[in-house]
Amino acid sequence: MSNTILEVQGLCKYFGGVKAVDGINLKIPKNAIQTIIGPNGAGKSTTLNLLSGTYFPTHGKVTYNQADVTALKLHQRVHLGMARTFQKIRLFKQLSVLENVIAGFHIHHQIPAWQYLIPAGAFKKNRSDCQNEAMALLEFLGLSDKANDRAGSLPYGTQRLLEIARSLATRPKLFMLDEPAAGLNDTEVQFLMGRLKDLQNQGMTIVLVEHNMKLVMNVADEIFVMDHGEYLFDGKPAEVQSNPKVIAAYLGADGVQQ
Amino acid sequence: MSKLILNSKKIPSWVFYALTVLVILALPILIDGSAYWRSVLITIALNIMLAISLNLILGYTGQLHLGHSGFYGVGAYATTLLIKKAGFSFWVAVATSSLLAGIVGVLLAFFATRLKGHYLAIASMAFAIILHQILLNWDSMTSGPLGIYGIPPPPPMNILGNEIKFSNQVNLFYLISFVALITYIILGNILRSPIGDTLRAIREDEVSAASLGINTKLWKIFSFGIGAMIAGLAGSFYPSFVGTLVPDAFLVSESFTYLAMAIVGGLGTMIGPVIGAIVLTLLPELLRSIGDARLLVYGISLTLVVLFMPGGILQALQTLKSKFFKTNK
Amino acid sequence: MSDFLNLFAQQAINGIVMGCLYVMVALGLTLIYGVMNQINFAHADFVTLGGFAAYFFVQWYGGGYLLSIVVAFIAGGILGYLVNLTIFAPLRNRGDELRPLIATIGVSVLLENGALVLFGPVPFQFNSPYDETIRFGKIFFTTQSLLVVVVASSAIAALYFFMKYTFTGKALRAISQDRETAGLMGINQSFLIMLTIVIASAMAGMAGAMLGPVLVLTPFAGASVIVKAFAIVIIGGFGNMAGTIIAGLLVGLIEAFTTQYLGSGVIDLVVFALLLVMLLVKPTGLIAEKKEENV
Repeated sequence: MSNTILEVQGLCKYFGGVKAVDGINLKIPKNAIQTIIGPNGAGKSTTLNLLSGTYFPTHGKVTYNQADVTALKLHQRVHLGMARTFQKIRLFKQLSVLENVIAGFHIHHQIPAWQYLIPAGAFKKNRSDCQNEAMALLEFLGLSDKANDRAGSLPYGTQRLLEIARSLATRPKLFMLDEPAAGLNDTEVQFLMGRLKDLQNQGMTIVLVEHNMKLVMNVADEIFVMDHGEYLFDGKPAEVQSNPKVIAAYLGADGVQQ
Repeated sequence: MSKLILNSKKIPSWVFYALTVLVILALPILIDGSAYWRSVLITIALNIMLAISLNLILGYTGQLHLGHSGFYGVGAYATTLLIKKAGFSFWVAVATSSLLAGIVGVLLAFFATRLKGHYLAIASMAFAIILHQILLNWDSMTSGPLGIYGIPPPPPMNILGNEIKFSNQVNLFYLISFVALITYIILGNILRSPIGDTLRAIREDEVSAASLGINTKLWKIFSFGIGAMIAGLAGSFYPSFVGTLVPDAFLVSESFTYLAMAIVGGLGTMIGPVIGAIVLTLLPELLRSIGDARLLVYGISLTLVVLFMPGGILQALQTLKSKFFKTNK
Repeated sequence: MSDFLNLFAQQAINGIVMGCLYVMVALGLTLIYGVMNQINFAHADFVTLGGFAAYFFVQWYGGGYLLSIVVAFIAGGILGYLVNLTIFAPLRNRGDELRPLIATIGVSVLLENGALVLFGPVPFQFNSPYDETIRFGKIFFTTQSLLVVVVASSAIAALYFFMKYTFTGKALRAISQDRETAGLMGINQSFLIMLTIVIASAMAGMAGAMLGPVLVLTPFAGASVIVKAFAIVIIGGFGNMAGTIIAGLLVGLIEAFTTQYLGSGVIDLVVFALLLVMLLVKPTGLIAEKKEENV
C-alpha cells in the first residue's frame, strides 16, 4: 500500500444533472507513468481536475501519500508536491519565458522578510538561484534560446513546453498533465515522450490525460480507461490495446470512430 | 519589463535615487518665490504616492480598482480626527491612519477575492461612494460638507540641532517628497522580489497561478492592503497641506484622475505612474491660460493612451529610445 | 392611519417615477452588456448630455418640450454611435475585455469635463411645461411624472416587443446568448451591436430629457447615476431585461422611502450598501462564474 502515491475512492462529480465522473477508483503507483484515456466526453479532464484540486468532488475521497487531501484547494496541493498543466494553454502571456518559469518558484523562496523591503545578500542569491534553476528547466525543454521572448509570441507547441517548464519549477513529485500533446506535431511529441521518460527516471510520478495513442502506448506504465464518466478498464498498454470493451468504446458499436 | 535601460548598460538604482534626492532638493530653489508652484510640487508628490499605490493593485495585481479616492480620504480624515479629537501626536496619527486605511483596503479586498473585472470595478466604486457619503453625513465627527478648517502643519522637527518648521512650504515639500521617495524605493524593492512575480502571475492568469501554489486570495488582500496603506499615508499629509479638509476632495471621480495618471504614465511599471503623476498634474497647471478646458487633459490622455498606446508615456519613451539607438548603430 | 397610507402611496408613486427613469438608463446598460460583454462607463454621461441637449433645444430654439425629448433621444443615439465607432468596434477582437471599459472611463471623464467647460458648474433649472399638479385624494403628482411613466413604459414595452418578436430582436438575443454560433448563422454582428448601443444610448438620452425637470442639470450627474445604474443591472442580472425593470423600480422605491424616513442625504449610502451586500451574498449572474471555472 505504501507504494501508492495517489489514490481516489468513489470519486464523483455531478454538474446539476450531468454525471461527469461517477464512481471512479484509482490507485497510482509511485514513479509510474499513469495514463487516463477514453473517448471524448469520458470525463478524463474532469478527473484530472478532481485529482489536482481544481474541482471539489461531489462524493469521494482523494488520498495523497496516505493523507486525505480531498478538502485541499489546488494551490494547497502544490505545497505537497502535486503539480498540473492545463488543456487550454494558460501562460502568463505578457511576461517573458524566463519570468513565467520563475513565477513557478513561488513556494520555494527562502528570503528573510525584511529583505523584501531592503534587498541584501540572501535576496540577491535568491534571484540568481532562480535565474539558474529556471534556465536549467528551459534547457531541459529546449527553450533556453527563447528565455527573453514574450510568452504570448511563441508558437503553440513551444507554449505547451513552456507550461511544462513552469509547472516543473514547483519541483513536483506528482506531475499531472492534461493533453500535453494536443496540437503538437510528431517531432514535438517525440521530444515530449523523451522528456516524460527523463522525468520518470528522476523519480517523478506522472499522470497523463491523453488522446494521442502513440504517446500513450509508448510511455505509459499503466492505463486507466474511462467512458461516460465511469470506469471501463485498466491495465498495461498491451492489455488495453486488445481489450474488446475499450475498442468498442472508441469505435462505437458499429465500428464508427468516436 | 520595468527596467529603464540607458546607454545599453543598467544604471545602478542608488545612482538614480541619489539623483532624485538632488532634484528634490533643488526644485523649490529653482522655482523660487512662487507659493503657487510650491503647492503644485507638493501636489505632485502626493499624486505620485497615489499613482504608484494604485498601480500596485491595478498594474501589478490586475485588480480593476476604481475606489482609490476612498483610501486617500480615510488617511486624511483619520489623521485629522485622531489629532483633533483623540489628542494623538502627528506622527502617531499618521502611522495609525495609514494602518487604518490598510485595513479598509483589506475589507475591499474581500470583494476582490470574489469578484472579477466589471463587477469588481463597480464594487470598488460603490465602496468609495459609501466612504464619501459617510464623510459627508457623519456630521458629529467630520462636520459634514463644511469640512474641518484651520488644520495646522506638522509639528516642527529637530534635525541635527536645527529646528525645521513645516509652516514653511519648502520644508513641507521636502518632507512629503522624501516620504514619497522612500515609499517608492521600498515598494519597488517589494515588486522586484518574488512578491512581484507572484502578483504579476495573478494578474496574467489566476487559475494557473493557483496551479503554481499561489494563494490568490491572500495575495490580493496583500496588494489591496499595502496599496490602501500607501494611499492613506499620502492622505495623512494632505490636510496639513491644504489647511481645510472637505469630503468633496475624495469624490469617486478623483479615482479616475489617479487611474489616468497610472495608465497614461505606464501601467505595470514603477516609473510609469510617477511620470503620469508628474505630467497629469503639471499639464493642467501649465494650461491654465486656456481656462477650464485644461481639465480635458485627463479624459483625452486616458482615452487616447488606452486606444493607441496602452503602455503609456513610458512605452512611447522606450519606442523612441530604441529607434534612436538603432539609427545610431 | 390613512395618513400613513397616503404618505406611503405618495412615496410609492415618487419611487415608481424615479424608478422608470432608472430603468430606462439601466436597460441600455444591460442590453449593451448582453451583446458585447462590455460596460460603457460613459452611459450616464449620455443621460446628462441628453438632458442638456433637450434643455438648449427648448431655451435656444424655443422648441417644445415633447420635441426636446426626441432631440435628446437622437443626441444619445449619436453619442452611442460615436463611442461604438471609436472604442468598442476597434477593440472588439483584440481580446482584452477591460481595455474598452477603461477607454470609456476616459470618455466619461472627457464628457464630464467638456460639459463643465461648455456649461459651467452652476446647475441649470430645466423646467418642464408639464408642471400641473394632479390631486388624487390626498396624493399629489405632477403631469410631468405622468409623462415620465407613460413615455418610459411605452419605450420599455416597445423594446420588449422588439426583442421578443422581431427578427432583429431575436438576432440580438442570439448574440447575447452565444456569440460564436450567432456569427455562424449569418447574422451581421457588428451592425447589430452598433444598433444595440445606439438604441441603448438613445434611451439614456431620452431619460436625461425627462430627468432634467426632476433633478437639476449639472455636468457631474454622471458619476453617481452610473453606479446606481450598475447596481440595478447587477441586482436584476446582467442581460436580464425583466430583472432590470424590476430592480430599477425597486431602487426607485427604496430611494423614495429612504428619503422619507431617513433623509435624502443617505440615499446613496443605502443604495450602495445594499449593492455591496448583494454582491457578497447573492451575486446573481456571479454564482456560475464563481463556481469552478471551466478549465
